Amino acid sequence: MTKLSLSLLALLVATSLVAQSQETFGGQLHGNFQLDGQLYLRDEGIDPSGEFYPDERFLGQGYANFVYTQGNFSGGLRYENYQNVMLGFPEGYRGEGITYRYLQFKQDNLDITVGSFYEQFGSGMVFRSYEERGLGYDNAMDGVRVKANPAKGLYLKGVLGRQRFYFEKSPGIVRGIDAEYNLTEFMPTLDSLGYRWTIGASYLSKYQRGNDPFLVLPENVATAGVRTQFTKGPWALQAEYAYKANDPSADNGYIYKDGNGFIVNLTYSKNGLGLIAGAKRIDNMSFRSDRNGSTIDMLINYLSPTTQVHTYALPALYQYATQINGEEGIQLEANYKIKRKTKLGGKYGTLISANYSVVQSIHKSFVDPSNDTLRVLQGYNSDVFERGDIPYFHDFNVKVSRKVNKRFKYTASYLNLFYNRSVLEDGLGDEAIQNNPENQKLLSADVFVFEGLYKLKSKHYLRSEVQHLGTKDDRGSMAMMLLEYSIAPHWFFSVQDIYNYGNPDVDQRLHYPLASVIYTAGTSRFQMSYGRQQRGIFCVGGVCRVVPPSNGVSFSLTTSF
Amino acid sequence: MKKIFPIAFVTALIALLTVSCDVIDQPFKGGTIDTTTTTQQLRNVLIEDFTGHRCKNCPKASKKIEELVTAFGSDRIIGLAIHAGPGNFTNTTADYPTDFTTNEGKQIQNFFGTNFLPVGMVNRENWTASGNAHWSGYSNWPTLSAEAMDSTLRVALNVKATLNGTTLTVTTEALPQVSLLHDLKYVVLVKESGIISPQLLPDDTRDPDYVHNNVLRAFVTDLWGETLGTSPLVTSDVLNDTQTMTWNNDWVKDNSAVVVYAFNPENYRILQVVEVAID
Repeated sequence: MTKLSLSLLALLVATSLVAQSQETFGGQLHGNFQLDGQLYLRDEGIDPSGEFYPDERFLGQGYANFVYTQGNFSGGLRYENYQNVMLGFPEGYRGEGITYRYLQFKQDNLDITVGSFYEQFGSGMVFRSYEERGLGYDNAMDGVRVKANPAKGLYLKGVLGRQRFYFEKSPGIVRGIDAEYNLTEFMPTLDSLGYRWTIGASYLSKYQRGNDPFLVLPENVATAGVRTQFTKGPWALQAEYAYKANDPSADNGYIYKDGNGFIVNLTYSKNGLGLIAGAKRIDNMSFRSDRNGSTIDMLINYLSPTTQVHTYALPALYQYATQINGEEGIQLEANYKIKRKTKLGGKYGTLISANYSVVQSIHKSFVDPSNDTLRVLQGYNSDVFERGDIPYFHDFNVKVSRKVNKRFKYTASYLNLFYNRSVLEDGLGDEAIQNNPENQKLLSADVFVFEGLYKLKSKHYLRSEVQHLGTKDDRGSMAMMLLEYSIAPHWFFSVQDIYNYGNPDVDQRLHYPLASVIYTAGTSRFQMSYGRQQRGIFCVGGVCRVVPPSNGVSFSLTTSF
Repeated sequence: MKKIFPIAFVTALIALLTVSCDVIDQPFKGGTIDTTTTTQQLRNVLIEDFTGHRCKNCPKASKKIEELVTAFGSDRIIGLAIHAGPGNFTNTTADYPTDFTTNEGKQIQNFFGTNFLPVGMVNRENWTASGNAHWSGYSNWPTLSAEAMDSTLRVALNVKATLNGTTLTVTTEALPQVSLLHDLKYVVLVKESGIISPQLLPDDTRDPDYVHNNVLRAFVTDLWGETLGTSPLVTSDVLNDTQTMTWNNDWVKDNSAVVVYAFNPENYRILQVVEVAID
């Protein structure tokens, strides 16, 4: 192992010496590279039956991006390899190959891309093609995109193609169009009065062949949305509504009900005070380019979350995942910076934030199939003005951040979490819960986090975290301690331990130690870690994946040029 | 030049609005499914249903197979429940005491590369070493089954299974219906239905009297098959083989059946499958 790490360090140093953009044929070539691997060790403590212990023992995956630009032209590709895909990532990633390649040019106010591309209409409720590498999520389009700016303030987009499905393509074709009009650009008077106002509209349709022997499937399914964004001084308002036509799918149990969604956000920011109020209601808005798709495969749209994403390890165990079949929720947040050199604010000022978010089911009155005399397969009726009765999630948290002196600053947080495990982990549907509400697996937890950063001397920093999650549910209470020591700009050392002391199963009251070292040179970074990782859920933007427990030595090498 | 953009945009919008949404008022197909019997053998469908007794969504998959069998007949749609996958779905516990797993089932699951349930393969169509197109969810099985049944039969199978004492004998005759430019392999296996044992249900409750059907019990041939014929094969060829195994008396003969499938060893595509009762 020592030889291996020394070799990789040598490789890293050599790489960093040549890491710079390359001038090629009069243009610029840029790129980046990442390689991750883990040697898994059998650990009967966290995995008694060995079900998560991979046959390969060592799993590794990586990618490299290359982008060439010259004037109005650019082109690029990405190579990916999975030998084999690491635990916790979607198993669809098997093998290796060029998964993303494109050519793009701009001419006569046209911006044309052929090949692979990412794109988004509005907030994404109608269409969002994007990549989130940490999740293993990639629904890149392969086809043609045209963007145009035909008049002042008017921006048009058109897309046509198929989505990525691991190393293949989705069976459905996606075609859509989007128009956004910046009224402030069109009417300078608005600008002079301090207003910013944008309106937009999208229309998108998917085609997938239907050959079901029992059902008449809609082969063309359309969705449309309208949106607006308005700002005046410290105030900003964003709102979007989307409608989707009948789209029977594996997600919704092959019902023919229409879908709709509404998101609104109001923000205020002035003089150290920030306020955010958001609300969302979505009903049957799962939209994929394969009606039989599941998990994170081939999603056409993106339903942004109205909950806060936590990066601290213990609250991150219970993150909210957007329920694409229906949910409603609100989020309220306030941030205030107490002025410095005041009694409460201290010498450097103090930042206080509070956030509350709650999500529940929408109202659903299910239609008994035996009473579906018209045989229209609507599934359920939903009253927009009636509240759903299944709680999914809530999060109330307050955070205080303060710089005490030149060497020390801290952040203290308290969180109160409610998490419906039946919905968010087991994927139980509303109908099953309505029929047996007493079977729900719920979790309530109180979490305390204290984070301190000490500057020991020039370029030497010590960061620490103490966390405690108190609950009688699921795996019970846990405590965590982390210490990070960094010597800028090259070295970083970290040790942490999570102790699941409150696990109801005495045999599972385990420690989860983890030690890491990172070396950075220029744009290159090498990380090596050893320890245990407990099972959990990793989420980005309301999209989540389950991470199985593991033990072993992992490494990561990244560089760019 | 700028006039091009609005014209092109409006044209594209009209095109999209005109053709791009099918609103279905009556979801059910009219008429009845053609189940006309014929003496000529047609291409049948094997649905390998990867399942587990602690997988709550798995009963939905077996129900889908029942629906297809009801619609098309048990001779056309042949279900095979392979209990394999993550241990938290398939392992035994005090509440789920029956071990339905088999080493062969685990090998199939590992080879074809999946680790979530429920999932299945329909005639193992579209297999590639690095792809996933051979996997399908149960909601897609009606479509895939219909397409498979409509496709050309490439080899016909005639099978007879008899149990004499504790010896199960299976004789198979394969008749190519078109010229085959690849070897032909075949597999013989035993499955059992009507096994009452607990199962986790979609609403997270446990049914102690759940009836497990189509459960893979054992392979009579090697898991990856025996060679029936080598390339090239023509329509006048008659390929015969006989396989035997010792019967396990824990299996109820009247609830059991023998399944035989012939496949292309280059891509594992199942060309024909038949299920026969045991005499």
